[in-house]
Amino acid sequence: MKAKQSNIYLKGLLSGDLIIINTIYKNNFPKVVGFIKKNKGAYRDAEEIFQDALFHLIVRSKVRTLEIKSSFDGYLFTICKNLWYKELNERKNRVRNERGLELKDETFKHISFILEQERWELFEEKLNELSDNCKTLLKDYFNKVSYDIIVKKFNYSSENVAFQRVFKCKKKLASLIKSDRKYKDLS
Amino acid sequence: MEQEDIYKKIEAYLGEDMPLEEQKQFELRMAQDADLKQSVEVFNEINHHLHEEIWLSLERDNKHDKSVKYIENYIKSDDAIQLKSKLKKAGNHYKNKRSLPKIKYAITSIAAVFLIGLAFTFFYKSKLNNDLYTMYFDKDDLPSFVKRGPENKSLSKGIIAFRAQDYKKALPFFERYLNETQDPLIYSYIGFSYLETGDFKQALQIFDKLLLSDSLDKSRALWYKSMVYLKQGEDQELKKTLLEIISDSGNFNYDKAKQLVVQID
Repeated sequence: MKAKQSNIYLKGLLSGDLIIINTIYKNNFPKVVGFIKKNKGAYRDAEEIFQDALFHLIVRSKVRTLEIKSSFDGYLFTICKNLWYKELNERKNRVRNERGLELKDETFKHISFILEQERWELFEEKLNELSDNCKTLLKDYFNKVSYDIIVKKFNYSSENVAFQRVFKCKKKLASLIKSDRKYKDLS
Repeated sequence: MEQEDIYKKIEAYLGEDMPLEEQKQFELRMAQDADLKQSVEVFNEINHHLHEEIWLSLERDNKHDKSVKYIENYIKSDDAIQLKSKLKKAGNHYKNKRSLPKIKYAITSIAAVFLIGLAFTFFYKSKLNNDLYTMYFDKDDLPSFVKRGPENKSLSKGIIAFRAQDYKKALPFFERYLNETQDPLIYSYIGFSYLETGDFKQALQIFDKLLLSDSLDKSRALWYKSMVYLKQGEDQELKKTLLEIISDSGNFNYDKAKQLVVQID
């Protein structure tokens, strides 16, 4: 069902079917506006991000590979979220960069995001190959849950054990990523 | 144990939690040890990945990369540019639609005055129709005059005014051209000039003439008429005309007519 729905949406996007694109807007845009407004953005930012996200889906379907494993709506939201994080990051760097430097060319911006998003998806795929225990541990660790809470939650005997466990999970993840061919292709 | 030490060092390095001297040494080691360098890169990316708010922009040498070139070519292609403009159209359509409920709220909250309600219904409908009109009417739908050449003065003056969207000024030139040449191609332009100046009756009459002419463009007349009805808010006539268009897939703008029928329902 999900795959069928994604297919209809993708086909509509690729053929420029305004009825489908309007439906995508109606179903997804409000959520994206909500997210961006909560994260230092404005309505106008959401408009741009949403347009870019739809355009990326088109480009990826046309000249790269695109496999939507979750729902279309969920996938589109992830793209918008990542695009917005990238934009925020770049805005921060622009402020830091006193020389103001060159405005990056629009096409180049699209290309780099598309490739970075593909890489992000590879990392996500590999993260999901880890055991549930490892996944939760890594996520907790990076969400700055303190070691003593991790020790209690995972029933470790000491903080040192917790640390070693984080290390092992991360090492496992790194080796899964490095041994995937896509990693090299996307470097 | 040694591996654990390296890991600690990598984390310290990435977290900028390393004395300057040690940092320099570590970088020197990375320069000589490709494996170590790659591990640092992967660990860095993993850290960013798990910290979802921090997006890692990768610096890459784009110029010589095949896949980059491939994507670039597509982004610059006509297909991509056209689809992008479709996305824009949908974005604008959404925005226009969105502003309507706000007005509705503002007005209804003043009072349930019947008259206001009536005026609003009219406004809402005409705004909606206007949105659809902007979405569906495309100047490219008009026939091209290229083959006619530039020799006729009335025609060139008319076209110039038409392109500048000065339809009132364009009309007498087009009429003169029609008198001089009896060229049915000009019906489309005359009709649209009337439509744009709000003279729906004249526009419909002209498009009917086109429909009855021997011109190759006569199948366009139905589509043009539907645009008049759309702008006018004549929903029943609009639907009738659209259904006529979609009764034959060879008709001009058959696909668009199909989409529009769904949308006005």
